Amino acid sequence: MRLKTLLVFPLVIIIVFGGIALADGLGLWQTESSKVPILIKEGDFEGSYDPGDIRGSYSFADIENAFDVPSAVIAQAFGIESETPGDILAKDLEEIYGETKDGLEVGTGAIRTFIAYYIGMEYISDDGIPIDAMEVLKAEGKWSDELDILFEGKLIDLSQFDTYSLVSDGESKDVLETEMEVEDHEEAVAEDHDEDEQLVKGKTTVKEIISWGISLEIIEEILNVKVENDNMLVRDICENNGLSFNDVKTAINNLLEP
Amino acid sequence: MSKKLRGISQLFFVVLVSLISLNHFLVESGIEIPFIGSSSLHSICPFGGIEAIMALVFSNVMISKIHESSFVLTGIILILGILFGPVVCSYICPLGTIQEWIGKIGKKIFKKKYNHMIPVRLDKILRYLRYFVLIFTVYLTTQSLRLIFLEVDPYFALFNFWSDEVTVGGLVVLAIILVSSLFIERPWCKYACPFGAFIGLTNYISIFKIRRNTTTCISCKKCDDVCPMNITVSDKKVIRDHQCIRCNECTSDVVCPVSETVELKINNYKEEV
Repeated sequence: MRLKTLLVFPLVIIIVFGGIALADGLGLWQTESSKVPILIKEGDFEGSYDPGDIRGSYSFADIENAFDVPSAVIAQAFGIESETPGDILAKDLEEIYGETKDGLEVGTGAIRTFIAYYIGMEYISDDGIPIDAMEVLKAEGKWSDELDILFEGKLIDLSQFDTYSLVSDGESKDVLETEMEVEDHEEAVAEDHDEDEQLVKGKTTVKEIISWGISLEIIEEILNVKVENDNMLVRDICENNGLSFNDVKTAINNLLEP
Repeated sequence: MSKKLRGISQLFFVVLVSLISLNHFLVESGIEIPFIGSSSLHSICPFGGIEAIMALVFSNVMISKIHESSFVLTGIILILGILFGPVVCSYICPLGTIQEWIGKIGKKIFKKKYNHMIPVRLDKILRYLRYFVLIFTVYLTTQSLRLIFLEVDPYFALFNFWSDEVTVGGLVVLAIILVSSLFIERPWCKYACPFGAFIGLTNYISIFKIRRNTTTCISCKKCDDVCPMNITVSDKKVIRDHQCIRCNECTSDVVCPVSETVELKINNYKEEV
């Protein structure tokens, strides 16, 4: 049997695009990371999405889909007035606000903490939350005396940031653009700062932690699993082994504190 | 006609990949070309699937920037390879196409000397370099859990030369390829392409292969002259060379002057007694 070479082109087109259509139909054609957090594997919240797995790339709409917390409520908790709150990314907060003088960051960590308490989950972390977020939790009846103690010294007054008055007036887009321009100028400095900062984050590898002076044995003890490749992200190891990244991160960060 | 169709296929994929890459950039600025999709170049790169497979199997880690679509494309191209050989190189790969286009200028300048400038002995050795690139890339990616090849990836550099993500290494390799394409036909494919190395192996197993009818062949050697990969077709019954890109230029549908003599076939020609 022979094949006329002029049939090769149509066959290539049929197989390539037919294959893609088939993969799409089967849900295999994913061209970007899924914006779905991992599921909690044990405890009272078994089977629920883990707020500790919210990433900086998640939009408020992604968070709303996973946790059923309206985008507008998240925006309100973080002092942002926007007509399209669903489009705001968790990492945008770091660009809008950044860090307080006390070293507390308004970013993805604060979103995780807020969402966890909004859905009624106990969530231990080093992150603070804005006073606006506390007000939202209070209004929803999700604030308690225990949380008053837990968040002592970790409630952030957003009005200390120059950008607050703008974003709370619905100009978050302008603020983001301005902030990004400033960030471009300061990128090199910021990168150096990030590299020097010895704190476990979502993109921290085991190798980095070892370079900060914590031995592999101690890391393995905290994780309770053998680390096969020290280039792995701590987050990935936690995901693969059903561990809470937040718990592991907190345990290692406690060791890193001077 | 067959040659024309391959040209149309190449142009189609160059335009498609360019538009997808441009759209990915434009979407971030709030503009979008409709119906094209705005996937990142990584997500539509079949080599990503090869690079990342070991990390996924052994460490259960999806390498950053790689997505499920890369594995789907690797699978589709493997199916194409099992059926027809490495047609991805000759009908789809935009980097191969660009080299071919520049090669047309080289052919005009150097005439018969074009594509015959590397000493045969050295050329023969260099042809295996791409296996080293393939193994080294997969090994480093699996160990570092990073898309290490991006540092020198000319394909990414070609379609993202305007972006922040492009690397100096990628641009340098791309420049070397584009310049050397003036002297050598498809230099990247011949000597360094790790994906070509992988998919080139389907030349040994593909169902349809280029086969030569020794009974009707007039040994004019036009098939040898036209082969971009310098394969001597005229002394073989079946082309199983790992470098063949299945451009089908040597076949009776294109350059071979005798009909039914060099064709894409499942079985060998029956020899006359």
